[in-house]
Amino acid sequence: MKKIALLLALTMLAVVFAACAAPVAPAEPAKVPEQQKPAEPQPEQPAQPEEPAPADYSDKKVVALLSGVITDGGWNSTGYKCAMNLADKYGVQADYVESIAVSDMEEYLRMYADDAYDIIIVHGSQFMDNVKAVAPDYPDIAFLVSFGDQDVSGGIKNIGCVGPKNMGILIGAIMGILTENNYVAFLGGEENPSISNVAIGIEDGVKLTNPDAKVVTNYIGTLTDSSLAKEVTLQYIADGVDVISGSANSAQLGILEAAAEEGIYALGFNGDQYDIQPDAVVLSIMRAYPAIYEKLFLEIMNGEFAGGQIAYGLKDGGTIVSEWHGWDSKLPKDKVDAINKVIADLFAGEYGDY
Amino acid sequence: MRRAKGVYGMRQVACIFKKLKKNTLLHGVISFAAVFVSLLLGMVLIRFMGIDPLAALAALYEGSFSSMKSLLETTVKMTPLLFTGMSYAIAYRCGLTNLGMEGQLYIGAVVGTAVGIYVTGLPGGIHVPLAILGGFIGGGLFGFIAGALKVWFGASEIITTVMLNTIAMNFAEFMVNGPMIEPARSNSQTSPVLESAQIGKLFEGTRAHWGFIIALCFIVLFWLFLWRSKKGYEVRVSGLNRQAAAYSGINIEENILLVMFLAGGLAGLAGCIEILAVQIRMVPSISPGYGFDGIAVALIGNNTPIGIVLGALLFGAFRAGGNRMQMRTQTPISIVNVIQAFVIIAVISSNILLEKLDEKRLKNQKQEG
Amino acid sequence: MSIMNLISGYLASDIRMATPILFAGLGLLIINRSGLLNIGAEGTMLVSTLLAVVGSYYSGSVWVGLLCAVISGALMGLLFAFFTVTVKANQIVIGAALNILGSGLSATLNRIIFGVSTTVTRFDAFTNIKIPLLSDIPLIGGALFNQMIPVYAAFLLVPAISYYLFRTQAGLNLRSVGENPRVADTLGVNVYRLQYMSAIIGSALIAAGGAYLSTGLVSSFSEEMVAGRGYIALAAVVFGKYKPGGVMLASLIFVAGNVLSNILQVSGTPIPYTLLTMIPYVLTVVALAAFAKGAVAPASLGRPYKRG
Repeated sequence: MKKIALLLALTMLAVVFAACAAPVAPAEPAKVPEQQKPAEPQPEQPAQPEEPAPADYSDKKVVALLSGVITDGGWNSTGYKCAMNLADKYGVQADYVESIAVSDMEEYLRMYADDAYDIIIVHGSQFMDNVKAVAPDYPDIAFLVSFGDQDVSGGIKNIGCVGPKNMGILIGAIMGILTENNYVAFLGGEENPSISNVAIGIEDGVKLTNPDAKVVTNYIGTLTDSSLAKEVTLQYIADGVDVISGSANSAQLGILEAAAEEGIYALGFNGDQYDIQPDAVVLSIMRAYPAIYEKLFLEIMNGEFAGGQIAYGLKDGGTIVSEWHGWDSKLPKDKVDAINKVIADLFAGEYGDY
Repeated sequence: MRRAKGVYGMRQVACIFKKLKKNTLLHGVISFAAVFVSLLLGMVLIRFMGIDPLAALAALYEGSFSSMKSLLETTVKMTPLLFTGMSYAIAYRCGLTNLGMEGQLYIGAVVGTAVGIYVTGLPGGIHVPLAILGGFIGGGLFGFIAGALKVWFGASEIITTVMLNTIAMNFAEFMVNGPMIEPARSNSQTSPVLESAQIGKLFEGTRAHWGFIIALCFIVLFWLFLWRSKKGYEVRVSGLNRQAAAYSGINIEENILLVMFLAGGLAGLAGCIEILAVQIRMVPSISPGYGFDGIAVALIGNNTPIGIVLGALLFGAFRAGGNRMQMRTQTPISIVNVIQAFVIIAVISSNILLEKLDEKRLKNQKQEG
Repeated sequence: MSIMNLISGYLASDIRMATPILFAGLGLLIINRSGLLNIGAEGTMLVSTLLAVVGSYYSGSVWVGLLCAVISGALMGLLFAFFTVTVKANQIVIGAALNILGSGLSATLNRIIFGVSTTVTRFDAFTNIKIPLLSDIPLIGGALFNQMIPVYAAFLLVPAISYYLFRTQAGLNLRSVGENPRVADTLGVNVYRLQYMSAIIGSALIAAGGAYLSTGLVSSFSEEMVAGRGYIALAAVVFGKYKPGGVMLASLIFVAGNVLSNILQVSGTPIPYTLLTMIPYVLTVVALAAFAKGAVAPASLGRPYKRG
């Protein structure tokens, strides 16, 4: 009895393995939609004359698909704001979904695509494969992936790789001016694309304004443990760092708190973080995602969207800087002027193609 | 003689079957009631959030059972839970508490991915089993560490497995950002596993994959090992009463090492198959808590094969339906967590209620006899 | 002088970071000693981090926040005790359920109370209290005697709990319940009541650790901010050989691993951060392996007791 069952289970396994290996997908039918494809985008073009009247977008649907929770005060709350911004300004129906695992993303993409959503914002480059698998089946829907560093759309016309570029340059440049000790640090939460693409530019940015300064970019290893982030920051401050910036979702709160406690300068990130620690946060640097997606939304509505890499460098308005909140009168005047100038110059493209 | 034995067997089976029928109905009704009550509590909470609870419930059903498609989606979620459930259960049967499924899952995934990417030139019929074997051994060795620490150093596996979880997840993040990073890209992800190492879909156009069938095969193997093999008998005896097992000459230490290896291997398969069949490549976080859910899956299922399948079905349905609930009604995923906690507590309590009822019946039978 | 300052700084950092783990470890110790195995400290702490902030924010006093947190902990303890002592459910699974519940509940309540995009950082929080004279001792003075009240409280609890467990009749009763509830029962100890009490008081202590995390170490709440300390406390109890002094040492050593990884990071080591963050965990595993032989868990730990 047991031997038979064992044999049965093992043969089953063998059969399964054999079945796994066999290519399940028949190769032929895939070609058919490709032939139909070029015909489809054309009918959309005559829709342009509508422009002058304030268009009614209330029948349009947008969704932001997020990898974490909207209360993280970082990457995912930015994504959430993108969708809400469109709802507020254009009356579109905007939804969001939180904490999506890579394994679940395809399911969500298909559900929303089947529901005929017009724009699907996929907030995170780790979902690229899922988007590539789904997007060709729904050529009328725009899939916008929040990752502007590279064109990874694979030539699929309704995928856009969207995001700001070179934020680190700006952050570094400001830190280089602020520092007295010539020692600044940028602390990331974890090494993932949304954080490392900021960290990459920090050192070059500092060198722009302060070639002698020592620059550290490092990772704390947590996005949630604000008390650990605070301790790490305190260690850096004890080591002589006098300007700190970071990108670590809610662990960022600990970085800012350490700066406030020790009386050094900090730069906010992801949102205007002045209110969190008014005694430390001099300026906040933010990804202009809500504005970028607003612009893209209008482009898509007007049929001007062509996919591919849609990167917004510093000179294209991909990055925004908060107001001074009174710090311009608290800081030495030459520093304020220098910071204002470097921001203006970077935005104007004076330092080259950032 | 042979015949007599057969008849006796038949009678016994019939007797068990009769008993089972009586109990199964009651078990079913009470477990169902427990799930129902906890769902009700969850709906009250959802109402507090200002969300229509009926719409939420409808979405939960829609996402998990309403159609063939959603049912298949549930099987996708069930697959890793079946493995982690077995992992917890096999350790439990040996009197061990394996809380390290999450870490073992990650190590299994790393090894499976590595075999899937770097071993080239194999046909699919060999590559897939090889990658799966790699995942099993990887997770197994990681589980073995906890077993060895217990046997050789007396360190409680409850603690070491929890510590090893963090170590494994950090290790996976290290591999994905370092040695195994996809060439020519600065992203934290590996290359996709080769096509020859990918596990095929059950039906084209759905996400259901052969990994589910593999998991069910392993449920059978799990049953065979524990209840139909000598080693499994030893394992269960050492789980029930370690001293008695030692007196009867069972090598407990050897069993602990073996069981922790098998438990780690099973959890490793959860991660490995998830990669080979669903995610295709490795990123820093691949599991939304399948390892920890395994505890509940196994314990809700009383650590029996059928029970694990039912527990995985319940939790798989929750994951699939919870996703839909979030989508349709904007119910925060944190509420799904709260409801899951209610479900665990309710089902476990109802199990105990059933045990008490059984005891009472047994007593009554004795008195009658 | 500068080296002295650095060392003093590391010591201060070690002590304040160890405090939440110490609170949770002492709470778990009391629970363990009564024969209950609660892996739900993480969830208990998560709920209390939020409630401490809520209480302090609405009342204007951090003490009210602490009280709210402690009450929430006691309730979680009551829940645990009801299902493990009265219903006699498997303690591991109830603990696991508490963790899921705490994670879900804290996130949900946070959104209901504070909304989605506000970060509440301005409320009454604990501040450092300098103890005169003692805090002037070189090297250790600043680290030991310039801390927040919960830090002093946690470390003073160590001898207090030690005295209670090993020098009083009540403590002996508690330990005997954990070792052999049947014998304790025949000697007239009310096993169930003691287990209830220890689960409630122990969980309240665990919650105090959570409260210190969000109103002391930092002054804000964010989801999942406990970040595994509840599990580490579990290890600290075993590593500390089920004695208060041991738990204290264990939490100090674990956090020393944290501090070491921070120091290495600041010094600019080429080791990737993913490996550095492993240090405390590897340290704990190694320490467990080295010292576990002598650790004798309460004999009936994790087994439900059935009277009669």
